[in-house]
Amino acid sequence: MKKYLIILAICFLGLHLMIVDANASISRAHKIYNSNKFSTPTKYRLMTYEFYKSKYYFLASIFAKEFLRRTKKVDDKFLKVFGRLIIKSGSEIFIDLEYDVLNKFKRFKQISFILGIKYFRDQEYKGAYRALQYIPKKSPFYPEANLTQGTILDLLGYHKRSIYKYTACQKAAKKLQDNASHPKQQRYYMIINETCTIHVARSFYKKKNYEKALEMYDQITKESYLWPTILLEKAWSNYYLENYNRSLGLLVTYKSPLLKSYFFPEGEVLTALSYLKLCLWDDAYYVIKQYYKVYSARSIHLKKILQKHETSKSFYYKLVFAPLEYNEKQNPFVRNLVTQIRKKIKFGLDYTYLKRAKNELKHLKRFKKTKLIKFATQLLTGLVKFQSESINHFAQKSMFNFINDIHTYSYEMFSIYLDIIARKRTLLYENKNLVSDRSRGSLEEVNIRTSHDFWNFEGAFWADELGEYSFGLKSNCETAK
Amino acid sequence: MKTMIYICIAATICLSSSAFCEEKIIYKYKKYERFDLGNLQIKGKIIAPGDLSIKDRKHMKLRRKLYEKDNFNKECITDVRNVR
Repeated sequence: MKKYLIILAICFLGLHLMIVDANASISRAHKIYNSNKFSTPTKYRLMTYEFYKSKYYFLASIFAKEFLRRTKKVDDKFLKVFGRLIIKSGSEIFIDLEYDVLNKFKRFKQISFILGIKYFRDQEYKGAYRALQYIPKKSPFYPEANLTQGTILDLLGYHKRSIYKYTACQKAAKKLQDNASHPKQQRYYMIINETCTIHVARSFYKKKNYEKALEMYDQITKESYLWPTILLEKAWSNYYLENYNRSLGLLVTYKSPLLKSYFFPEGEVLTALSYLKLCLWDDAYYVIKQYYKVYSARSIHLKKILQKHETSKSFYYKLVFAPLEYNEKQNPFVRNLVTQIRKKIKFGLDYTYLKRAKNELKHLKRFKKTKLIKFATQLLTGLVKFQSESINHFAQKSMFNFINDIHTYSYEMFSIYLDIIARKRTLLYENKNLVSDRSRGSLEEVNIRTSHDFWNFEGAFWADELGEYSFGLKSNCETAK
Repeated sequence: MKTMIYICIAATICLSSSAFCEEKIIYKYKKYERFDLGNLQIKGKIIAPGDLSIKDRKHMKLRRKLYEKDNFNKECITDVRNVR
């Protein structure tokens, strides 16, 4: 009992000291703000330190940006704090720093990282690549820098060099994941590692080395957040390997109740294409018909709902946080999209930063309303608004992209439909028929590797079987007079 | 002068009385006329064949350009942008 009391007392004392220390930093920030002794850049630099010490990371970030805009040189202490601020408050807050400001300090890893990201977003790939070269191996941004550089090289057509960068990313991310103390940090580096693995697979795919691509995709475990999305990519690899049955099997996984939220219009096109390659025209036609009847109609309804709030800065934000049952009632696609959005790494990070910023604002409001506190409250209120609007924009963009995808792939579906008609017409002119009286599935048609287990499908999806399905359809492409 | 006038009047009376005296012509048509189309003959050369026919030609096989997935560039860019 005594032991617990001592621990409790130490904890209480620690907490008290932290609060006292934070309050002391705020009071020092007041002194600096009101003093005439310092120049404006020095004032902002010193206030960055004080707010950082009192754990007002977002506020510290705002003052750090203002300092960078007004100064010509930075010291090690500032750079160390700046690096910590990127981790604590995210890089998004620094993205609006102007290019000339960032270029002034590009030789410093923390600032060159922001510059690299900014260049990448603006599709200035060569500038981004050069800026990210300053990131050293020991930096926590090293895996991300390699991921970005690898992507740039891949986009520019340097396959081998991109693989080298992705491999460096995987190794560094794994190391940081193992050393991370916080589960959220571990998960973050794990996702970076998996993203790099997927990028390697995509690079091999681009070089038409589909076997190697599949090998890389197989390294992603089923527990991963990214696993459902790669099923489609695996299906494409199998399609080009002419293993249409495996491709159809992978795509049918999306029909299982566990993956109900993952609906990709592209997957439907690939299903129709796979049937077409097997000359199962009626099956392909059924997929096309279903696409127009169900998905296209639903998307028109969804468009009507979303277009009403096209200019809203909060509607999509509210939608993401609404109960799933409510979203299901609105439109089945809304529920699916919200589930997908919530699992995105960007959404997770943005939401965490928003919560932290709101928390800072809440604590700041407890202080006496001095000139500095009023100014800081105004800055933080603007930042909270920006963060929630950023989430709103991300959700809106994802939903509109989905609707656009439905329309784009609708055109592709129509092309397949016309192709089926053309093929049928040719057969008719040639007075031929397809051999269609054969059975619909056979074990002989299933391409099984030594690493695969085989079970018959009994009409139910089992979690451990997901992603392992294969159809057994024989090609119907033979003709008979 | 008077004599001349009398002559003219007499001549005019004589001419008009001769016009009224002409015979009236009556035209008559056949009530029914029959054409034997089968018996009609056209003079000249026949260039087109008698039966209908379609000229034999090679059937065109329509092939549309179907959707291809060459790369995942778009997805790679989105991944990098959304990692932060």
